[in-house]
Amino acid sequence: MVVVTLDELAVHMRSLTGAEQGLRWARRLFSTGCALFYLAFSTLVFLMQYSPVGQIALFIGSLLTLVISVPLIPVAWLARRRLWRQRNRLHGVLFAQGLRVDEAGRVVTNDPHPRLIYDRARLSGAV
Amino acid sequence: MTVQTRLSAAEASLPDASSPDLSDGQKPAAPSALSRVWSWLGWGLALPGLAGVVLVPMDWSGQMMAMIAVIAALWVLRTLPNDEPGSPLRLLVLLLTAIVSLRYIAWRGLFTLNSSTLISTALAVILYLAEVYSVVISLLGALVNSTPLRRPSLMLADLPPETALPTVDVLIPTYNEPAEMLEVTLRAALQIQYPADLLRVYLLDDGGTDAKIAQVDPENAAAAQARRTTLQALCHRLGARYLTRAENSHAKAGNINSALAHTDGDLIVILDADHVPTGDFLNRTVPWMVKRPDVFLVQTPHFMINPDPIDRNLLQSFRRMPSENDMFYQTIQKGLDFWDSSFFCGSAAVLRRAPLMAIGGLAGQTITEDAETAITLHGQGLKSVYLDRPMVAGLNPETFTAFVIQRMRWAQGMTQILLLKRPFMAPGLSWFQRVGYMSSLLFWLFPFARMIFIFSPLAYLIGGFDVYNASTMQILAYTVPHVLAGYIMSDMLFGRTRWPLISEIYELMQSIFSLNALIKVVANPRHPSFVVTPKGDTMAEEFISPLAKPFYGLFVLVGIGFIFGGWRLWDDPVTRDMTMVVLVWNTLNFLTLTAALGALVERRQRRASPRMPAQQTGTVLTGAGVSCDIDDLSAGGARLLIDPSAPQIPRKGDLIRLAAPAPQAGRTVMLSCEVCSVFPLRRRLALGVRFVPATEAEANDAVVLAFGDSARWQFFLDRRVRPIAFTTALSMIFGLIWQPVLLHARMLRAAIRLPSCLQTRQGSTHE
Repeated sequence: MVVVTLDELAVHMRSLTGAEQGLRWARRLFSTGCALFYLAFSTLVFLMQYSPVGQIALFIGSLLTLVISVPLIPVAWLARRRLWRQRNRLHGVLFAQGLRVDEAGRVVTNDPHPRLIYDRARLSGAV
Repeated sequence: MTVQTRLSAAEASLPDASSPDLSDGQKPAAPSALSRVWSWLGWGLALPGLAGVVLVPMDWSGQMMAMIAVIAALWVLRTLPNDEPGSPLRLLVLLLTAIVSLRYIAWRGLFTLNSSTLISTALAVILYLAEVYSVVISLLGALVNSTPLRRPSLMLADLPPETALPTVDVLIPTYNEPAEMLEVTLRAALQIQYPADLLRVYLLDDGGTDAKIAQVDPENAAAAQARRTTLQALCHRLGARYLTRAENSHAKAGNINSALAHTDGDLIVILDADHVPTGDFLNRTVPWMVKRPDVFLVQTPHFMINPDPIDRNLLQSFRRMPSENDMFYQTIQKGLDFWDSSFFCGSAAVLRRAPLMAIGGLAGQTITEDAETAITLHGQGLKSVYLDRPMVAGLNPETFTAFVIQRMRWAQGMTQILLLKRPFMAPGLSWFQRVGYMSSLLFWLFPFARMIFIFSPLAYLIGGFDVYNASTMQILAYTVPHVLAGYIMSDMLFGRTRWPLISEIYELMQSIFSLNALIKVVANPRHPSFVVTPKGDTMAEEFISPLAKPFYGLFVLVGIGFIFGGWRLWDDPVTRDMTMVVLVWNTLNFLTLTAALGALVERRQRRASPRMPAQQTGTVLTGAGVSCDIDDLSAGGARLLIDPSAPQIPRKGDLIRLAAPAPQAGRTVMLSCEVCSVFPLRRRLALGVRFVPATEAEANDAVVLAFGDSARWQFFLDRRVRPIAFTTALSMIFGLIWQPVLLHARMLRAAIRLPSCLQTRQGSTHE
């Protein structure tokens, strides 16, 4: 895709914003999955090796957590990878044209004295 | 593109425009008496609660369960949005980490210091003290950096039109720096955008003092006289003022204080000899002084345009990785600024004359006169401002020797302040300023801890001393969570400006020499003398640093540790678990040390003035004019990229004219250039050109083009400052450990063929 008009840039930026948001959530989901897995697995190992009897609630809780986290991790990891690639590809399109997205989410030229190219807050997207 | 809008200056300063922080850089008003009572009440309840959580007794299994939960929580918390200063999640991460670390230290102190022999106990206590030091530094760092302050952009144009601007004296102290280096700094200082009648530039020459000229050695006396004559002529030619003094007392501080008696500007800018200011330096700093009469200091970052020797020799990632001082200038100083304790760093700063004169000028009791002066002025209730915009470009020391000289001076000076000024009990400082200063000063004692961490595993493996009395399960329950939590916190606070494991290499490289220097200071705090850092060295050939020997010794010792460890593993099944743990520890030390050896091979460097990426366009004026991209740039030359199919391609030796926009100056500069090389590069044709200015104005323009634009430095920094994952850093370190082997093999081959060429200057003592 080669961005040439503001309409196309608006569509491009919508995709990019979606990818960024999705990536943030995928990252959090992946970390949460890892943390849950680590928590449940460590607790189970600990219970099985050292704990006296009578920890059935903790045991069942850990088992359930493990069941949730085991499928969650690969799903979140794949989603993260896919969104990461999509995000990079969308940024790459802008970069190839000497553009970048600044901290405020505006499209500016990629140089020390940036010129504003597209600002969703200022322009409706129409040419 | 159909629509392009030029961003205004304020919008273009991207971090400022989007900064959510305080609009005028002022913090909220002082708390009322009632809120103070609540605050004390809160602390009164929180501290016993914290002490209870830290000291609550648990067996190792309970501790392990608790730590598993805490580490899992930290793992999730680090992915949530917590980079906003003062964010509750950020504070929660800091609190949890503090609890984990304090529980670890409490456990170590209460249960693990009992040992079989007196020597073992002594060694265990020494290791424990090093760990306590590390935890204290970590907690102080967490407090200081909990809410970094991002100051908004403030320009002269933002002041009311009737505002009377202060007069400014730019002071450039010099001792032995070459005239070529000083010329660039002077030209840039004279080009700073400020009303000409309010700006004066002074060169303070301590290499041409009366005492230097009258010294007994006729050769040195003649050199001092020649230097004075050369620099006087230089200042006369450029329009700067030359000042020197009778004798060289109190080094740099004495030099500046002497100049203060001969100048009268309301504000004083201090620039090191190699620190070249951008055109907007005063435009962005003076408004803070005008708006805030209680401010005595506006400090800006020291932006280095060349890699330090460890980066240049080993890492080779100057354009991709945050440099060593980025952590201080882009993170820590902002953290200190929130607590009103950002301090003077000796250069790239504006000082108010009145308070400085009131305390008798710059302090000269220690060799880090900058921080010492800031402590005194902070103690008088005055404020400081830190502006995180690179507006001064300086040089890192080129050789490892020069690097060590510089760091030893900093370590000695900061320890002198600790011992002589005692900021923890200095009058007038608030508690948070004491915390800020103690965090900055105590950091420089790291060589003690670093060396203890290197030698402790060796004491166990080689000497058989029980320096760490704990079972494997206890280590898993206490030590591992402490290390993991520390990493997570460090990643959150400093991840963008300091990559994991890189600090280990830098600290190790400095520790051996700084340790010796620190011991001397502790023995006699008034002993150290100011040693000027050599800058601008060139190396014709690769060579091994003359400071390498201790590292080879340490390398062999750590290697011997493995042999003893292997034997101990086989011979003593009872201590096998502990031996395994200590071997892992020794392996980490070995990896760091091996990587460090690569930094000891000084790589060839022929260019005295480094070139920086430019990313701007220009026009080569040959007949019709050929548009070009300026790929890199220095005050002496540039690399231009042109289309190979252009009609009139210059050839080597041709004299051409280059027209290039200088955005900060708001005009296009025209420069005469000589083409030194022509070669294909990235499907373009590269022209290596040398500036040959025909007039003084053209020479000024070359400096304006190369150094005048702070946006260029900011752009460069923004590309470089980013976090990486721990695994990426680890793979980077694994990649680096082969470097020393390859480099030493190459050196060995070269040594057989040719004698190595050594061109280093030792630091010269500045009396």
